[in-house]
Amino acid sequence: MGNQINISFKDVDGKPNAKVVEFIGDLDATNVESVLEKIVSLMDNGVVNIVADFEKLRYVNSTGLGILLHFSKLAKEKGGCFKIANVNEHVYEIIEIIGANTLLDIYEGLDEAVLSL
Amino acid sequence: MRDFGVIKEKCSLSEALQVFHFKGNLNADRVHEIEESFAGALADNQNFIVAEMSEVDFISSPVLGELMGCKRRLTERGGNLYLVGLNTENRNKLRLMGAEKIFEFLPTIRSAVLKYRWENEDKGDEITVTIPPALNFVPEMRSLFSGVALQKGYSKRDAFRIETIIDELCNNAVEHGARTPPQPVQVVCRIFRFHLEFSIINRNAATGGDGVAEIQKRISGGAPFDLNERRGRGIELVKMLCAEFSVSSENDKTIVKVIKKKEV
Repeated sequence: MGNQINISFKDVDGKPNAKVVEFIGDLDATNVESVLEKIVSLMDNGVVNIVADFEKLRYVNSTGLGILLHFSKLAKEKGGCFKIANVNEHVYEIIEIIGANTLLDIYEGLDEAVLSL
Repeated sequence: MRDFGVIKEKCSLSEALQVFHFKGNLNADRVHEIEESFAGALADNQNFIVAEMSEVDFISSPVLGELMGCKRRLTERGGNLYLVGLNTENRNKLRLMGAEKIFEFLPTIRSAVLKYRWENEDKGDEITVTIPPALNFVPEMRSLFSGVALQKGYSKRDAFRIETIIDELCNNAVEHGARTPPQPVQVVCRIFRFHLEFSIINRNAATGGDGVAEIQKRISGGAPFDLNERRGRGIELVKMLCAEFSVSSENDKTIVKVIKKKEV
């Protein structure tokens, strides 16, 4: 029972305070706490520029959207940024319906998002 | 090898369907007999025909052509021809000949009856699932209903939307449901060809009374939606994804009802 999400971190060349975070699976109410803990810990350790790679994120619900908005706000407060790339069409529709696309920094491709850091 | 034969009989599962049991080799020289059998049924205004093929050894191209022609004639009259019980060899052969684009190969007469009812009676199918009030059960629940929608011919986009609707409503029911003692959450789904109806039922202290009124206010747009606030995002999503959305309280139960129309 329950739902799995895996997140992994990749360094960004020449930017020690930046990471690409790959999300794999479904982001929902069963696993937001563990994701929240990992990303906040990363930011607390000085990695305040984050690109979330959603290529393998199949699903997100309103609770998941909530923590994405939280990451975006937290990164800005710490002088950094939280960007999202490679969002699948279904996930993007959910983001758009709720209006979160106006608050989140969303890029079509990962390279584009990383270059913007 | 079995001898050729066509036996016409009533369908024991539905009066609306006429069954033709075919046997043996459906060679090219049998086309005329088959054509006459179908013509008789059409003359009797039997618009839904099951061609039962489990005892057929061989289907020739001209016979397949006749089956296709019969299907076309029936379809033009609002009816259908269901191909049932093809053995693996015949099924593969018909696939190679492109017949799969025209016929859906059904395993049994019962499956043809169910398909007929699904397509013509629109009474819908009902599924009821009950889960313990724990978030960990919700992913399986949303996955189940999304899968059912796909199987019933809804698009991938619709299936994803249904997954979202079930997820949000079940999470709410679990979150606001009575905990002591733990009360189950029930989802009743009625699936129709062009829409789905869901009822999510839970025993509830928090959303009874004031809680229900608050949700009703959000549904009607009486409470402004703020994306930065934690509460209300799920309801807003469901509101945007459904054609109808209501909540009511009966005794100690909260009942949320939604209707999701099929994307056309």
